[in-house]
Amino acid sequence: MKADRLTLVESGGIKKWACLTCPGGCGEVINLSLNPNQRPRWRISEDFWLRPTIHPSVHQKNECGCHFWIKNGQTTWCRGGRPSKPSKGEIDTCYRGK
Amino acid sequence: MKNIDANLNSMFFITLRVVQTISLMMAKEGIQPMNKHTGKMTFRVRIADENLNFKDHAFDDPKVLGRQLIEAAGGHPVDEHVAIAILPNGDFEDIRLDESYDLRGRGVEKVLVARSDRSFKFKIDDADLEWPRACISGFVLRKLAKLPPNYNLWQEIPGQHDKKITDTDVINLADAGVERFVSLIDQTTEGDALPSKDQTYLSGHGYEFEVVTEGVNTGIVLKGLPLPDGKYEHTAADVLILLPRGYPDCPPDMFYVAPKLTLAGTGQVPKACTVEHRFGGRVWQRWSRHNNAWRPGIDGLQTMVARVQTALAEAQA
Ligand SMILES: [Zn+2]
Repeated sequence: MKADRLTLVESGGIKKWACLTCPGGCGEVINLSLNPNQRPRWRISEDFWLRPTIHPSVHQKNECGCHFWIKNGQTTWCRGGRPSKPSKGEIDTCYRGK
Repeated sequence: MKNIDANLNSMFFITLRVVQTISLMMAKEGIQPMNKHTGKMTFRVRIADENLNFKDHAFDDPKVLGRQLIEAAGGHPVDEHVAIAILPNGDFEDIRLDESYDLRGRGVEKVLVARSDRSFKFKIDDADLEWPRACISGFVLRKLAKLPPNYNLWQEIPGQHDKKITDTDVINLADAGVERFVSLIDQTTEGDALPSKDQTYLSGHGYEFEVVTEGVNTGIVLKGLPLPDGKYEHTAADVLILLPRGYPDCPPDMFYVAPKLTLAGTGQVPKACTVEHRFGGRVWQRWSRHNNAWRPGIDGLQTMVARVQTALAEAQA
């Protein structure tokens, strides 16, 4: 199974953005702001194998409408948040400076 | 007969097309066929002030001097003002005071006139823009970027978190490093702060709860939890469980109670409950009960609530 990638955008040691292709299968790129001083915002942590955990859950307002958690690189769908054609990839993290 | 009909039709079609093309060109270049009073061709241009309020102005010639544009907009004294052409792609181009600028040639749609002695350059996405003042509002930035309503504008700050720009934000373009803005579609919201397993557990067991966030911290408040009969000077209390970074793989540690609980009869504070903690605009009594046995993937709020119940039942002075 091909793993999906979550790109962590860092600048000066600060994690600014977590970007991933929507696991709902719509192809949109989801940009999650990690800025703790505004909404919406998310927190990210990674385990030893660089598998990301994102908190809280991610809810798409577009037509895709999917709603999911990312925990240790696994996406789990929230109730009612499962899209019609979800991808089944596992997610790991790669880094990009800015 | 049929053939001739077909030819006529196509000729008519071509004529119609040409007429449409000409009128489209005229509209695009702002040319009005004839001025009723002078009998000359006139050239229309929209000139904005620094709040981006546009007014229509007419010139006899599409080639205008910068100073003519400034004068038309009522800018006085002229040499303390700037005229900036706004190109159809959103890019900006300075028009010098005595430069004969062909508005038509570059397809200029609008001109910005403002009082200034210098201009401040910045980028929104890939467009090079400038503004004749050091201060610019988020509202004007959005307008310059022609952002659709479902997009947000972000200020890119190297080495710091990027900042979402609201309409009422005022950005100082003279500050070092203020030069890049990016637009991003706004289609993602924070979902639940609580894993659905925990939500199901709490709702299913009749707990009334609230998810409270403060800064980077998220807490679950169990509302009006009934206390063991006759043990405390209160019969119910709110319980706060702070979710650590990495929850539910990392365990919550202590828990917090409001109002402050004292043992019935003696009025004594239970052991290791003397510290106060402020969260969500309230003062909480900290219950220093630590957690050494957390099974990631298995344990959740049900484990934590059980620990809270045990601690409340067993508390001694
Ligand atoms: Zn999607």
